Amino acid sequence: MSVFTWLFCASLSWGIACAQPLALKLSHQQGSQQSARTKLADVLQRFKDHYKVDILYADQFISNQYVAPSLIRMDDKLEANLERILPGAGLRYMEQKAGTFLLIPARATSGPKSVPEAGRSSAQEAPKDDSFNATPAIQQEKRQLRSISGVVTDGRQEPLPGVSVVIKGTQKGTITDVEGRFTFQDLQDNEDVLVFSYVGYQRQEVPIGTETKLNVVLRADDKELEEVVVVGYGTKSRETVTGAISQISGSALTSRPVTKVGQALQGLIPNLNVTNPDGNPNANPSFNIRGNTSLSGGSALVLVDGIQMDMNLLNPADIESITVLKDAASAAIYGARGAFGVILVTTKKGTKDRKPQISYAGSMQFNKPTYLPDLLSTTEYLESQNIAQLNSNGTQKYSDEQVQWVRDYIADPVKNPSYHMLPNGKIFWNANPNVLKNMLQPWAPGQNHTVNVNGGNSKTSYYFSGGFLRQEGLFKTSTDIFKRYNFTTNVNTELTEWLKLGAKVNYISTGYDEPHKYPNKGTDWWEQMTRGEPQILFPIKTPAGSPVGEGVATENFVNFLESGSRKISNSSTGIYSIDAQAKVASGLKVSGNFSYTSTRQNLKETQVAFPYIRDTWIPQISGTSPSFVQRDFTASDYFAANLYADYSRVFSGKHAISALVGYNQEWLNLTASSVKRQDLVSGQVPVLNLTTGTITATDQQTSWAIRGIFGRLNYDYMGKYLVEFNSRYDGTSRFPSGRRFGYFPSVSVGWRISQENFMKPLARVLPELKLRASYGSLGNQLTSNNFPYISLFGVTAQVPYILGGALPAGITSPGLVSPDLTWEKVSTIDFGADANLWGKLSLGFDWYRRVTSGMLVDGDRLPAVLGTPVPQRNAAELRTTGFEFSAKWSEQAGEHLRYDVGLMLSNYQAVIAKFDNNPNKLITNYYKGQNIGEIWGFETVGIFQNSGDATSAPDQNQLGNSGKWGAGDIQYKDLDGDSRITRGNNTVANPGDQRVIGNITPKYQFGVTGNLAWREFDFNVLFQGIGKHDFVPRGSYFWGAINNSGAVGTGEVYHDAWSAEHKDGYYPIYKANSSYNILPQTRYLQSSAYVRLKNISLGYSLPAKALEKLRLVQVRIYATGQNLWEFTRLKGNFDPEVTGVTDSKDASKDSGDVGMFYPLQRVVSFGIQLTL
Amino acid sequence: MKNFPKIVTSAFLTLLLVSCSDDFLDRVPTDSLNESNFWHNEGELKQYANNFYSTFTGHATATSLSPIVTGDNQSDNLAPVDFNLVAAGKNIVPTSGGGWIWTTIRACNYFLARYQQAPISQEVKDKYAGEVRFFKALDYFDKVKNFGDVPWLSKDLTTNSPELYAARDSRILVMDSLLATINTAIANLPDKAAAETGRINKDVALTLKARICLFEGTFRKYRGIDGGEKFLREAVSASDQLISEAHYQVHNTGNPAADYAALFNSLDLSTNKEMILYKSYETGLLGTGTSRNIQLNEFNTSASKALIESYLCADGKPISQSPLYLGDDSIQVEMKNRDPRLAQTIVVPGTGIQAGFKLPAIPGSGFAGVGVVPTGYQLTKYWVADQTEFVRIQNGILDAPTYRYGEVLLVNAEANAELGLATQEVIDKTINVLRKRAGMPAMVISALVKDQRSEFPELPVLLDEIRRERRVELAAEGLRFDDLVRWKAGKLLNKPVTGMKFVQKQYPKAVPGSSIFLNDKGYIMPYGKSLPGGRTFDESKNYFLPLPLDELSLNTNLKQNPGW
Repeated sequence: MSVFTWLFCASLSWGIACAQPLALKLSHQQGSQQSARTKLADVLQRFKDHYKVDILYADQFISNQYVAPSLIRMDDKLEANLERILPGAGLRYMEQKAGTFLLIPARATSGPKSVPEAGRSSAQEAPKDDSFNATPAIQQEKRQLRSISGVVTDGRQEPLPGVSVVIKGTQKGTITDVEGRFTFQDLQDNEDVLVFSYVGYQRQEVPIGTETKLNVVLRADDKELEEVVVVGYGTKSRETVTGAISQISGSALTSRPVTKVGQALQGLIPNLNVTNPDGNPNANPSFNIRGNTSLSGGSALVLVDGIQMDMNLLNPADIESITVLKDAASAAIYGARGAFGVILVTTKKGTKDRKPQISYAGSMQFNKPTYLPDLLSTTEYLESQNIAQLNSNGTQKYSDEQVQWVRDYIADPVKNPSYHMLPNGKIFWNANPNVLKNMLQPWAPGQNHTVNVNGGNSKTSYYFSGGFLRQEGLFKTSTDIFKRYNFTTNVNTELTEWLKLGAKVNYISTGYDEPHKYPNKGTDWWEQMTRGEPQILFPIKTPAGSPVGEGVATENFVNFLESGSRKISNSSTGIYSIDAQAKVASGLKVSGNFSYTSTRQNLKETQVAFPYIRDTWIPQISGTSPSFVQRDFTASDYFAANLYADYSRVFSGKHAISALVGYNQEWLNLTASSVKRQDLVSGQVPVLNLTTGTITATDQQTSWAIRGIFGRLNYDYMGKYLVEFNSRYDGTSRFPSGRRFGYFPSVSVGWRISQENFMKPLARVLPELKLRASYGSLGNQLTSNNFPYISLFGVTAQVPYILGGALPAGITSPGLVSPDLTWEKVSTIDFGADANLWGKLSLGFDWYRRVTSGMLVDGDRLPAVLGTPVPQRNAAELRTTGFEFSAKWSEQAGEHLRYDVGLMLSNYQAVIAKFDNNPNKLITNYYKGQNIGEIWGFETVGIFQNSGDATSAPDQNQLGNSGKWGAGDIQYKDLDGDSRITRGNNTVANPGDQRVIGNITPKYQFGVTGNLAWREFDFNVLFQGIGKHDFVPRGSYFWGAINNSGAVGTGEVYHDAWSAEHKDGYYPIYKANSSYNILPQTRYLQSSAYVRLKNISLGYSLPAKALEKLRLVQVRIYATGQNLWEFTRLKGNFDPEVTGVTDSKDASKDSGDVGMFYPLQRVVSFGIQLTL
Repeated sequence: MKNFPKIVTSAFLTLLLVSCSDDFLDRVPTDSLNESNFWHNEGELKQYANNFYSTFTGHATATSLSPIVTGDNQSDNLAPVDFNLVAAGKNIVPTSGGGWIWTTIRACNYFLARYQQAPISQEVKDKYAGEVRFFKALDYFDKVKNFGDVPWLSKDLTTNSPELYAARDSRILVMDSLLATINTAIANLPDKAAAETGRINKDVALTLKARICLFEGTFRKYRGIDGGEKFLREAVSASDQLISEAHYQVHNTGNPAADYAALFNSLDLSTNKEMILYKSYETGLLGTGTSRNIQLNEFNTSASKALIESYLCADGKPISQSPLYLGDDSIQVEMKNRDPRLAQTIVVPGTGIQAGFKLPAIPGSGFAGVGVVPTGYQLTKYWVADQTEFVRIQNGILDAPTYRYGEVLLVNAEANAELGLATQEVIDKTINVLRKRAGMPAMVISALVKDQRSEFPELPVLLDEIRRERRVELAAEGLRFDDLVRWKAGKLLNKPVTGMKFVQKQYPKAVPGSSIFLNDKGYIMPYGKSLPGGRTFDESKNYFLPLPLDELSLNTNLKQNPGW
């Protein structure tokens, strides 16, 4: 609330500050008052605001033009108004595209009656007419010294009519004709620079030298294009938006060397939190809007052209814009699924009246890991194992002799053998393989190509695109490869004056081919590396002279990587949609669309059995057997249908009303089956019909459906006061009949202070200032499964007990379900402000509170005698409070330099407001008042320097290590003063000696963008980061043998562990399995906050002259770097962005130990963009 | 009528979308079973019962220790490298879990409350109900052993069942209910001949009953709780029934050096007549690494000297009395002239099954690539002398005994003895059957002389020797801790844990006092460093596990066990 108060005070003080100049301005206006006529410029501005359209014109046409007010009737159609007033000013209009009108001089030969048809008159059809090439003002000067002519086009080689061309430093100028041509007949010698300007395009100054022909390409001004904002079932102008909406243009995503669109979104939109699970080329980043959603799950709804799909499948080059609807009011139209925000992706469409334009973009990229753990070397490993075991139970794991063998081998691998035979007949391998070097390639290449064609005639437009992406993974041999093919066809046509039809086909095929992970070899290749033997002592192949000969595979995991066992997942997604739009009556449009999304996934996994040598010379096969082949097929059919009507009208020239009502229905059917059979006949031909062993098969078949009606009502008074109501009545199949429908209303209001008369004097300083507020309530139906209200029996495919010669199937009893399960309710209140200063600095701020109530959570924590998990109930409430802020300074500095600098900042924190089910406030569960993400831990006093210290210190035996606490162990602080270190009752009231030591919620996520264009060069930079992020390191990578006796671990802990010789070590004594020393505690709480140079790119576009010679429209070459640099204080050489989530309260959010991930990558990329 | 086509088009679109039927949102699970489509046929009951068979954990899988073998870590039989917390009296009150887990009981009760709905013959229904009751009894037996008093649940609970907040039921009530449950199971289960191979039959349930009743009978007797005698009689009757029906016999091929071991190192137990129930392992279906783990000692455990010393000498006399006993100056000497079962349980160095094997890898010995044998007495029970099995790693196919007839004989002998009914006739048909297989002289009651080094000096000599026989015969089968509990003999755990006598010249690299710890007589002290004060098993507290803290706060009627 304080923020709102602040805003109110700020606006008040603005008002006072404005009062003085306002008075001056008023008296001035009175003095210069003319007739009752109104300035044409003001009239057009009113039209823009009321009809929500863009009207583009060159200033010269309308300066000093006046209109009789009687001609203006705001309750009439815009076209009618224009037809009445434009002829008087010698102008006519063209509808460039829907909602954009271009004013150009009326042709001398055409009367006003031809004007209404202007929308259909294309450049080709227009008769050539040079009569308006020069304005009368120019003709007055008749000193004909030299002439110049040329054509102005846009970046797509389309002629630009109506461009103002002025001789720099004079009032002399002209405008281009319908074919973009201009001519000067009478230039003087000193008039050698022409200034080209046009609304929506970047201003350009061109020295003419001795040229007589000059062709100029004007570039679209992205800032101007952003002014139309995509909203649910429509678009809106930025000025009239009342909800919390952010939008970026697709151009911000192209030429980024990423495999998934989501990765490119990181840091670009405030409070769109993008999380990379790891650096796997097939990994899909996840999206979250505004932080914690619901304890039971829930995520942002992603719609691509109105159809729910995985955005990460898209080719970034096909994206026109991405809009994020953050608050409930904006998302309310999507009802049940929009509770946690909506991401609307709009893809590119064809352009009418344009010759086919062919573009190609291609790039090559090279990836390497950002960080790799600094694993202990072989000798360090042996030493660390001996120390860890000695400290643990006084024994030595490797004998001195064995350590010496390894040392000898390292010193001279030629003379010394790579193994010795032990007295018990076992092989002791003492090779020294470099695990990381054997496994990884230095640079992983990738490439990306896109071709698209864009064009259309006066009725039909088309956009065709094809893309290909290939990215290799990091492995040295048999690496993983990600491929994607994208095909898009988008055709729109006007069948009749009132009926438009569109059809879109989007087909995506992805393939990911990776080495199969042998289950007996651990969970992941990256987890494998933490293991000691066999990785760290075994050579890859047996040496010459071994009893089995040379070159036989050992258990070193390089052999498993190279085995030929693969996991190949292919998926194809086809999205087929048709849409129709009918103008039924004046102001009333009915639109409908129907789409079908077909997803087919096909996974084939093979495990080839091969023999290898472990610790005896008898080759083993157990770790690789049984061989098998597995095939999984998943097919889903998703249908979505929308029908909506919208109506807009302006009454009395002041009251603009628009309304939308609609109907939506979506359903999905999914089937999946999986067959696995053991014992391949041949490793070369792994197919099901060439297997002989046990078969296991699964089958899945499920569906869901939703149906809703929705409505929106906008009211806008004079473009100053804006009100919007949204509501939706939604039903879902996920709840039983009777509890499945919910009604979700919302309201938002806006006040454009800058449009008030009293603000007019400040128009130059503060052209835009808007206050916004919204409140809405939505439902969340995303539950753990499609039938949360039905209690299902479980199936155990194979009970681990042989009965009747097979592992039998088992059925387990169903759990409990709550009888009154229904929707979660998500309400958001939002206060926001948008401002623009000097037309250069745009600012946006939103404060919000999102309350998720009736959350489906595990019901009452019940005594264990219940014998089954407690059922879910609508029982908890979560309050997420946060803000987002964005600022962008953009400026044209001088002739050739244009730059902008942007900052995005957001923050949130969720608190549990209601959680009845933990009355004792056990800290192992959620409890009322809990800040989500809080870490309970101990306060560290230090490290016991000798055993006596441990004896005299408070008794720590309850934490484990019974009675054995001694030198090098951690001393925890006795916070409750009972002379014992305990967890108390593990409740908030009695947490023993625990307290909240940190919070895993990432705080202050930010992005800083910079774009700079200078002559033909463009330069972009993006920094992204997290301001505060607590992190409890755990797992074998970080802690090594302390965590798991056999683990390798990293030098970070081992070299700085306490020992009698290193008494100021930061880490506790290096003791095998001493997890009691690494409990969450203040001493080892880390910060994984970081700032990262997410992207930097430098491009060069060929100048117009060179393009003309090459007969190309555009050529740009560029170099880009991704993740090139970062700053972090995280210890242990880990990537701060992917540390693994530790969430003791929700295992599903617990993603593993630090370092056990496919590493993120640094990428350099080189590319070219061509337009024919 | 200019607008006619527009209206028609719009109307058509509207109809297209809205014309869906009302049940559009009615979806039901089509790939899962739920209450409405269950309890229809035998298959469903059978599959439900199948799930309980995973209770029989058997041998080690890829990642776990073998529950059978390492069960005795929590006792005075075995000494693992890291001392056992319960045996040392060092376990702490857990926050949650800690054995207070009721999923199996609920799964049983859920079945028992509903299976009668199935429209199939009563006999078939009873068969599976019998299996489920067996598993309910098995789970309750564990609960009673761990916690003493526990709530007795006779139906599956819901979120508002008052039983959730009830106090514990008395041991008396629970054990009577348990006895009734196992008796019903016995009555309902098919005979061995009629039962499907591998499934629970009447004999399996009788074996469990015998084990439970011996436990409860002695537990009560040595604590002066009423009803001990009743349970002992039930133990006798259950084991008598098994003996008299003669479905099983002790595995004896006349080869005392291998017959005992064959119970534990056979890849296939299907023809072994001593097996009442065993867990089968087959290539491609279910694998175990136990044999390999034993050979490499990857369980990091070893036998205690106390166990070694309880083996008789070959003449049937304890080491304190037998002239055959050569002392324990070295492990090799100590193992000479002993009960043949010793060499089939513990590695006798120099006679190792695997070529090249000389000495156990005691701490500091510098033997790498194998686990540690903290006491020097390495297990050989479950060791398959077969390289093929060894290199199968975790896919070994060593079968695991679950219930064997040998135990039934021991139950019968002990229960009879506790009742004062152990005649020579009883001993001959029980203990002496086992002795004969082992190649040991028969036990003759009249000739028994009290062992002056007995762990139970107060105990009559017959009972004492029956207990010895039980310890030897069932060593490293996971039953010893329960025996100590029911005999109220927890104080035995506090005797210092020692290993073999350390011989420096056999282990030139081991440094006493640094890498290995010895007592003043030169015996290895496996916990010399980690537990210098020795084990502190508190009899007033440690017979039972503590209840988890969370449970005490969730249900205030639940009281913590004494001493915790």
